[in-house]
Amino acid sequence: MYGSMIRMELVRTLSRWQPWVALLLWVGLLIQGYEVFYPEPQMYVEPGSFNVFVAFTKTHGYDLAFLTPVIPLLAVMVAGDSLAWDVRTGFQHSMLLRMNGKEYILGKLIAISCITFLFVWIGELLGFLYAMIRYPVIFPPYIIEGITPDYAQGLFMDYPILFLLLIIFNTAMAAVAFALIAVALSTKIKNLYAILALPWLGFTSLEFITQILGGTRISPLKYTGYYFLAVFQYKVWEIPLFWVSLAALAFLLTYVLFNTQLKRGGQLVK
Amino acid sequence: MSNELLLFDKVSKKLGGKPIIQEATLSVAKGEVVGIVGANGSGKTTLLRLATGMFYPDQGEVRVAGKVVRPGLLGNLPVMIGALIESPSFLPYLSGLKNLLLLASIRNQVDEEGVRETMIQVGLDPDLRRPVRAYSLGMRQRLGIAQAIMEDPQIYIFDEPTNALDTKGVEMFAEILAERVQREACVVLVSHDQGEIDRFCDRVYRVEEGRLFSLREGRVKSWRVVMKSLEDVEKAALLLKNVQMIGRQKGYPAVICQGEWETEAELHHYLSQAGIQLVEVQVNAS
Repeated sequence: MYGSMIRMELVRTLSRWQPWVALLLWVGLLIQGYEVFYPEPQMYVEPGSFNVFVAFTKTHGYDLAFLTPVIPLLAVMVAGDSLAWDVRTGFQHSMLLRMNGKEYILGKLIAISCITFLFVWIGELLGFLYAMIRYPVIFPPYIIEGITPDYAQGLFMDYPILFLLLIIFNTAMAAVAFALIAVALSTKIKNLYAILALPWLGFTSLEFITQILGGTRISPLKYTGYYFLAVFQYKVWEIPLFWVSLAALAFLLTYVLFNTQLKRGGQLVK
Repeated sequence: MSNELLLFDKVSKKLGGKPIIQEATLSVAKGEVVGIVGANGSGKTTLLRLATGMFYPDQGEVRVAGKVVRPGLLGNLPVMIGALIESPSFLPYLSGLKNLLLLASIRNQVDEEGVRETMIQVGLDPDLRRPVRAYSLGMRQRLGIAQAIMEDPQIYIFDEPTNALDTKGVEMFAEILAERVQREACVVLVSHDQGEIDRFCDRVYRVEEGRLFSLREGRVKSWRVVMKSLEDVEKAALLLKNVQMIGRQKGYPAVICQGEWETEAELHHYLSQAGIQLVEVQVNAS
C-alpha cells in the first residue's frame, strides 16, 4: 500500500510544473551561491583554500547565497501541497473509497517525505557537479580561520565527502520538515497559496524575531544553513537532530489532526 | 434481509447544528436499484455521503454487507463501493487515463487494460493526452462514471449521473446500469429527472426535511390492455391510476395504464377479479 502511494505521489510530482520549477530554482540558487563566492582574479587566495568543498559550505551558509532563505518555499513546491490538492479537487474522496483513512494519511506523509528528501539530494548533487567543474577538486589541506567551517570541522578535514553527505542530509531533512508542516496546515486550510506561503512566512517571521532579540543561538536561518561559520559552535548531531525531530513532530501532528477530523465526520471535503 | 448489501438503520446526521437526516432507515438488496428524490437541500447528497463514509452518522448505523461503516475505515469494508457524488473529482493536471490508473493502483483490482476498456465503454478515448482540466463537462461526467465502475464494485452510489450527458451518454449509462444489476450489484440513484427515476429504479424514496418517505415499492411499468367493452374501460378507470384511452383495436377499446405488476398474468388476474373482461394484456406498450 505505501509503495503504491509513493509511486502515485511520484507520478503526480513528475506531472506538475511546480516541482520542476522548484528543482530549477534550487540548482540555480546553488549556482548563484557558487558564483558569488568565486574569488576575483586579482584577489589573493590562500593556497588550498579555494576548493570545491569550501565552495559547497559557502553556497549554503554565506550571506550572499540566496538558497537558504527560500528553502521552505521550494520544499513545499515539490510535494508539500499534495494533501491540499486532494481536498480541493475532491480526489481525496475517490482515494478514501479505496483505502482507509489511516493508510491514506500515513501513505501520503511517507510518500511526501521520501519525494522531498530525494528531490533535495538530486538538486544538491546536480549543484555539486557544477561546482566540480568550476572549482579545483582538492581535499582541504589545512584549517584556515574564517574559511574552514566550524561545524563538523574534524569531519570536513578528514572526510570531506562524508561532510558533504551530512550537509545534504541536514538540508534534505529541513526540506522534509517544511513540507510536512505544509501538510499539517492542509488539514486546516484549504487555500493552496496560503499553504505554499505560510511555512516560508513563519520561517521569515521567526528569523526576524530572533534578529530583534539580538541573534539567539536557535534561529531558523542558522539551523537551515548558516550554522557553518556561526560563533555558536553547533554540535555535529544538533542540526540533524533538530530537523529530524521537527519533521517527526509535523508528521505526528498531521496524523492526529487528520484522523480527528475524519472521526468528526470526514469533513476534509471541499 | 440476507442479500442486503447496504443498510441505513435509523441514521441521523446534523451538519452545523442543523439536522439534515433524521432517523432514515433504508435497505438495498443485491440486484436492486433504489431511487432517491427530493428538493434541493433536502439531504439527498448527505445521505449518499453517509453511504460512502464521507460523513458518519450522529445516531444509528450504516452497514455495508453487514459491516458497520466506521470513521476512516471505509477501505476495510468487505465489498467495494463505486461512487459518483456531485461533480466528478480528478487531478486537473493529469490525463483521464492517468487519473484512473492512479486510483486503480490503490487496490490493484483492475489492470491498465481493464481501465482502458472501461474508458472505451463510457465513450472516452484512453489515449487522449489532454489533461482533465481541458475536458468538457460531459467528458468529466463520463470519466466519473468510469471511475465508479472500473473495479466492478458491488454497491454503486450515483448522484445525478446523467448530468451533462447527451442522449447517447444516457443510453450508455442505462446499459452499464442494467449490466451491473444483472451481476447482482445494488444501486442508489439520486436524480431530479423523474423519467430517469421511473426508468431505472425498483423502489423510490423522497427525502423531505431530512426524513425518508417511500414513494414507490416496485418498478412502474406501462401496460396496454384491450377490453371487451367500454363498460370495462369505465370500471378500469375507477380501479387504476393514469388510464389513458388509445382507441380501438380489432374493434375492442384499448387503454394504456401504469402499475407495478410483475407479469402480464398478474395484471390479468387483478383486473379479472374486479369483473373486467379482457381481450389482451401486454407489457411495455408504447
